[in-house]
Order: sequence, then C-alpha cells, then structure tokens
Amino acid sequence: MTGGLRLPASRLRGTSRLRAATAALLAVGALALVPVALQAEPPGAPAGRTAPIVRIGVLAPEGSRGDLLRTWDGLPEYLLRALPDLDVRIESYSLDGLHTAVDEGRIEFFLANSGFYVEAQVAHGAAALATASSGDTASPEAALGAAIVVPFDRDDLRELADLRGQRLIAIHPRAFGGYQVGLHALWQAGVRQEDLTSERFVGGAEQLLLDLTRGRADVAILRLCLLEELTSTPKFSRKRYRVLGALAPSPQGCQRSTPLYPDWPFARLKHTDAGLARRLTMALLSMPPTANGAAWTVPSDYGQVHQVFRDLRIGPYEYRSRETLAELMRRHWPWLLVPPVLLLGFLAHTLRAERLVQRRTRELREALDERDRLAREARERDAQLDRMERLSALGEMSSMIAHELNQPLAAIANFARGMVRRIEGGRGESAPLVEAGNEIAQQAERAGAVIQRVRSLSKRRPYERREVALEAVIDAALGTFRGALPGAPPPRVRYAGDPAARLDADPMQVEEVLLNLLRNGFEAMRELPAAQRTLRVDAVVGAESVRIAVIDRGTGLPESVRARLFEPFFTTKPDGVGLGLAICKRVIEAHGGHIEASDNAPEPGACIAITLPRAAPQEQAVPDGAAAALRAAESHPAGVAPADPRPAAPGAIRYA
Amino acid sequence: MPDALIHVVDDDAVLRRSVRFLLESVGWRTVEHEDGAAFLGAVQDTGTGCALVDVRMPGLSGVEVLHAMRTRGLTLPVVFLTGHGDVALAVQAMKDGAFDFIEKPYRDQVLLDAVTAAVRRHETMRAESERHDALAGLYALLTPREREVARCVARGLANKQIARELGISEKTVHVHRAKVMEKMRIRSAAELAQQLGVIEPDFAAGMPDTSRPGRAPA
Repeated sequence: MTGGLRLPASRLRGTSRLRAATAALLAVGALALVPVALQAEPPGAPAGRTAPIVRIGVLAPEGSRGDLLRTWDGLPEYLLRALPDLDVRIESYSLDGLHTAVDEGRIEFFLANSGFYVEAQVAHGAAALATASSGDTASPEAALGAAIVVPFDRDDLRELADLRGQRLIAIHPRAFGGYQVGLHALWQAGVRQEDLTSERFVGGAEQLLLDLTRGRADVAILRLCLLEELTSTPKFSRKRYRVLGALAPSPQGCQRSTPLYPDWPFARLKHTDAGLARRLTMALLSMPPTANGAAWTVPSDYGQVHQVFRDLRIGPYEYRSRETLAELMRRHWPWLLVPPVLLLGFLAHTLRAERLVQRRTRELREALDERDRLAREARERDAQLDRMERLSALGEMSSMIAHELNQPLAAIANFARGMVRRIEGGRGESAPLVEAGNEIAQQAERAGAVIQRVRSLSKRRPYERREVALEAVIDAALGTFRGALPGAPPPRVRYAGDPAARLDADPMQVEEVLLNLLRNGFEAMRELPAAQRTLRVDAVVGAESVRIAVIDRGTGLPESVRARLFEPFFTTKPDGVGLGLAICKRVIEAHGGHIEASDNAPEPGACIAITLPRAAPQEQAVPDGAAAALRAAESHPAGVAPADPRPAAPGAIRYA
Repeated sequence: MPDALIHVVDDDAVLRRSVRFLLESVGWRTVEHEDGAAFLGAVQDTGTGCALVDVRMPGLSGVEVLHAMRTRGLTLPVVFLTGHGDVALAVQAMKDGAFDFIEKPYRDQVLLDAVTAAVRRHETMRAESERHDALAGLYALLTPREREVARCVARGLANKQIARELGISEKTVHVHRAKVMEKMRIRSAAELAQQLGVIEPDFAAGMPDTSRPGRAPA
C-alpha cells in the first residue's frame, strides 16, 4: 500500500476534465484500497485542502509506555506545528506490532530502538534520519545497554561465565536493550544460548525481579537503568540483587553489564517519499530539546549494533548458518577427541595384537619343533620296536626250528648209535641196519623240509640289481645313518675317482650293508665322547670294481675276533644276535664282490671294506698317484686299498 | 636182568622206533606204546623194567600216566623225556615220583645209563618188597605177646628188663624170645631189629639207626 498521494495544487488548476476522470478512476480503485484515505484537492480551492498523512510508528516496549510519553512529550505537537500541511499521526506499537507495521508498509517512519532499527535496516532498507539524544546521556552513541542481575545470595554466580547452565529471564526476545545486548555480553563471556538451561520471557519488568527473588530464575537481563527504576520503589530492595560483570556505570549513573549502544533512531522506510523524509529530518533536527533534555541529532553509526546481531546470529543475521566450524569445535570438543582416542585405541590394539601374534607364532613354532622332536622319537621307537619284533620273531622262529628239528635229529642219533652198537657188538644182521639207515635218511629229509618251511616264512625280497651311482648309494646310507643317529658326528666321505661311477648292484641291499657297517663302527666307538665318534668312508674307484671302506676309531679287532667276524651268530655285543656281518657277507658275495676286515693298528679302530663290481668296464678310473696320495695323507697303511683291490693289506682277512 | 622189560611211550612213531632200535642194540627187551592210555592198558605188575615216557603227549600227559600208575600201585620207575623248556614240568614230575628225566636231544649213552639205573632200582625195589611181604607173613604168625617181646628185644633190652616192662617173669620172656627167633628165622637181636624196621615203619622211626649192617644198638 502506498502512502498518501500528494497532488500539487498548481497542476490541478489547468485540467478540470482530467481531474474528474482521475477522481472517478480513483473512486473505483479506492474501493479495493480500503485503508487508504485519499483526498483530492479541488483545483483552486485555497481553503479546506486535506493534508497528506504521515504515519509515524513509535516503539513502546513492554512496560515502558509511560516512559515513552514522558520522553517524547510534545513531539507530536511540535511536528504538527512544524509541518502544518501534513497530517502527522503518531502511534505507539508493541515490538511485534511495529514489526508487522513495517512489514506491511503501514507507516512511513518509525522511532524504535537500535536493535529494531538494525533489523528493519537490513530487512526493509530502513534508513535512520536522526538519532535521539536523551538529556541525561553524554552522547547518543552510548545510550543503550543492559544489566545482568542475579539474586545477591547466589555465591556460585560470581562472573558471567558462571551463568552456564542457569535459567535466564528477560522481557522480550526481540528487545534490544532488554535482552539482546545482555545476551551478547554473555556470548562474549563464552556463555552461549545453548549453554543456558532455559530462557523465559516474562510479561512485565517487575516480574523479572520477582522471579529472581522467588528462585524461579537464576539470572535476569534488565535494560539499562531498569534496575534503578524498580528498586527506587519500596517494592524492591536494591540490596537483594547483584549485577554480574559490572562495568563502569553509565553516564546516567546506572549499573550495566554491557557496553553502551547508540540510542533510538528516527528512521524512514524505503518506500517513504524522499521529500517527506527531508522535511521530517529538518523538522526533527530543528526541534529544541524537550523539558527532559531529549533532542534529535544526526544519525549515529549503528555498526556496533549490527555486530551484536551478527555475533548472536539473530534478526537479520539469522540466515547465517548457526554453526561455524569453530562453534562446533568449541561445543563438541569432547566428541572431537573421540577419533584420536579411537585411533590411539586402535594403535594400542594393533600393537597388542602384533605382540600376541608374535608370541603365538613363537609358541606355535616351539610346539611344532616339539612335535617334530616327538615325531622323530616316535620314529625311533617304531624302528626299535621293529627291531625287537624281528628279534622276538627270530626267537620264536628259533624255538620253532628247535622243536621241529629236535624230533628227527633225536631219531637220527638214536638210529645211528644203535647201528654202531650193533655192529660193534657183533650183531650185524643187515635187516635192522638197513632199516635204521633208511630211517636215518628219512628223518634227515624231514628235517630238511622243516628248514624249507621256516625259510619260506621269512619274507625276502628278491635282489633287484641295476645300475646305480656310487655316491647315490653312499649318500643314501649316510642319510639314513644321520636320521637314525642325529647325535652322531657326520661321517667324512672321500672319493678317489669319479663319485658318479656306476655300480651293478641292488641299491637297497648295498645301502643296508653300508648302514650295518656304519652302525657297527659307531658302536665300536661307544667308549669315546660323542663328539669324537667320527667315522670315515673312503671310496676308491677301480677299473672294474669299487671299494668302499668304513673306518672307525673304536676298540679295534683283536685276531680272535677278526677270525670269526663274519660267522653267523658270532657277536661281541651282550645283546647281539650275531647275524649282521654274516648277512652282509652273503649279500656282498651275492653281488660278486667280497668283504674284508682289518685292524687300523697302530691307530685305534677297525676298517671293514666291501668291494663291488662296476656296471660296465670303464677306462682306468683313478691313477695310482691319486690313490697313493690318499694313502699318504691317510697314514693308515692297512686301512686304504690301492686302486687295484686284489692285493690285500697285511693282516686283512679276505673272503673271496 | 634178562626178564627186564622197557616200555617206550611216545606219540612220535619214528622217535619211538628209534629208541627201541637203540635199546635193542644193547640187548634190552623193549615194547612200544603209542600213548599213555595204551601203556596203562598193557602194563602189568610182573617183572622188572622201566618206562620211558615223553612228557608231552596228546591225551594223557606223562604226569597223568605217573599218577595213574601210583594209584594202581605200579612200582615201575618212570623216566621222562622232556623237550627244551620243560624243566618246570620235569621238576614237578620228579616231586610226583618220577625216577629221572632226560632232556632232548640226548646223547645215546645218557639214555642207556638212565634205563640201566632205573631197571636196577626197580629190581631192588621188588626184592625189598618181596622181603617185606615175607617178613610180614612170618610176623603175622607171632602171637600178640610174642610181638611185644619181639619189639623189646629189637630195642636191645635184656630179658630182665623186658620182664619188668611187660610184667611177666623172666622165664616167660626167655620162652617167648626163643619162639620169636624161631618163627622169624633169625638168630640175633640185630636182625630182628632190622626186620621190624622193614615191617613196621613206626618202629624204625623210633629207633636209633640200626638199618645199616655192622651197626649194633648201643
């Protein structure tokens, strides 16, 4: 709705027809524009012309209507006198009412506090024309403020920062001096609106102090000088209240907790006619001070007020996002600690897990090692059991053999002896002798059959002869030896000639023979400390055969033992069966080779050597020089054979 | 010992035959039995001899045969032939009354010696037995009073002492004593003591050792 329509009288005098038409149009239009009272000036009518309406809205904050009239006493009259051709209408509005009036454009000017002005300035483009200057203020720039009041006996509330978590009351959420500046003071002390337990807005000024006294609130914001006004009455005692964050009293002598802000402006709205505005301004500025000393001066700088709104993010600055990052961080700092704490926790957990993993890995490894050791032990036991089983089977078998053979043998003995006695006694009848002889023969055959049966019981794998490399056989035997006796020092192997020379032999059988020799050699050294029980294996490759000698440093071979070494059932061991070397001899001879034993004298120990044929005739394998060098380094003349295995070393016994 | 008879008891026919061959080579009369039952069925209590019994046989074992023989009162000595490892069995058999045991395989001489010893033993036993029976028969002819006197005489008591012990006159003792000597066909108190030792084992147990010849009661 636009404001009053002012028609210069001069223009109307010349165009009566146009006027009539315009009036008719306006009359039609005025029906829709109800609140608009338009008065057309009759042309040439000097008297009774209708003045344009100037509506001024005056803020009368709640509870101070009386003050307004007192303060601005005479303003309406003055304006009417100053502006005789204008219909000046001054109306007082509540805060909300004035907002609405401004929103709806129902007024041309308003007179309100700085806070309201700032909002209107931003929202509606209002502009201050003059600033009120109250008589009792030194400057219009420092006229508004607030006091933050708490009951005197609240010793826990000493500073503005103590107001965190308290219950606040004020007059009106949009009251600049009565609330917003106080809130700003709190804000600057670090107390945000969200930090308060509650905010309440009471109806009247007296209610503020009453609620404080009654404990219904903890802190109240009173506009500047309200506290002094209220406590000047008998109703309220100044001693019951305390002002927090008190700064130097205002020029009026009122206590305050906030800085002072510019006083009320007289402002125009954007739609207000500029000429009208100028006239009002001139009138105001020319106005002499009232009885109270109130006067008008040039507009102040309202930047501070803007800052308050900006800081509090209220009014025109509400659109700003309420939360900046800094605000967020300030308020939620405990939450911000959570990620680092989580990270630390995670790191700690990872470290612990790592340590646990390491420990478990170590334990696992130890357990695996233990298991391996146990497995090795188990294998050893198995092998031992096997051996014992075989021995007991041997024992069983020998019982069987003994029993089965006893009968025929006994019968043979009886028949034979009987024959001898008969013949010696002169009773040589042929018939009984013949009969006896036949019986003898039969029984001998029966015995032979028993042997056959026993033989077939022992499972014997037939020989599988094939070409096999010398070192393969030696390595295999050594491997088994070391696996069975891990505590033994590894035997030292030396080759004279090509280690890859091929033998014509059953590899398993030869391995078993070598293993047997190695075991015997090792056991011969059982008197020595474990670390000194070193066996030597010398392999010499000849033209047609290969000689492998196993040399130990043990008790050696006295002549009596050496003579019977390969006899079946001959043993020097207390628990020995005495078949080992006898079997070795049979195996080697079955390969077309031979086995011989000799003493190492003067050195301790013995040397058992086997000779095996090579696979196919080769060219000369090792020159005599190499064998001689081997021998020289050896200095065991009896232990090493020359390239030609046939000549035996002195003292050695050969079994061809 | 021409009438001695050797029994060979073994389930192994060949072995049995061979033992028989050997025994006959030195002149023993031999008879074969294939098992314990056959032997027990055939054996008689006449004549001397011995039995060579294999301790392990099917059916009646050697030891059972031994027991059966004792039950029947056969005095034939038994020599057990044992295999290797039957020592415990053999020891038990000896306790049960076997004469001897031989381990197989044996030297022939060992077997022959054992047979000879067994047969001799048997003969001795039989002779003793006969003598015992004869003496018992004579002893049975004595009156109770004469037996009393005989016992006292055998103990070495003088007639006077006997008279006092029995409460009869010395003269009566003299008469009884003569009768005893006559009936028992002996001439000295020592002989009487010996015979009584044979007849009445209780008597021998209570007496100083007079069984050996040349030792007179003190």
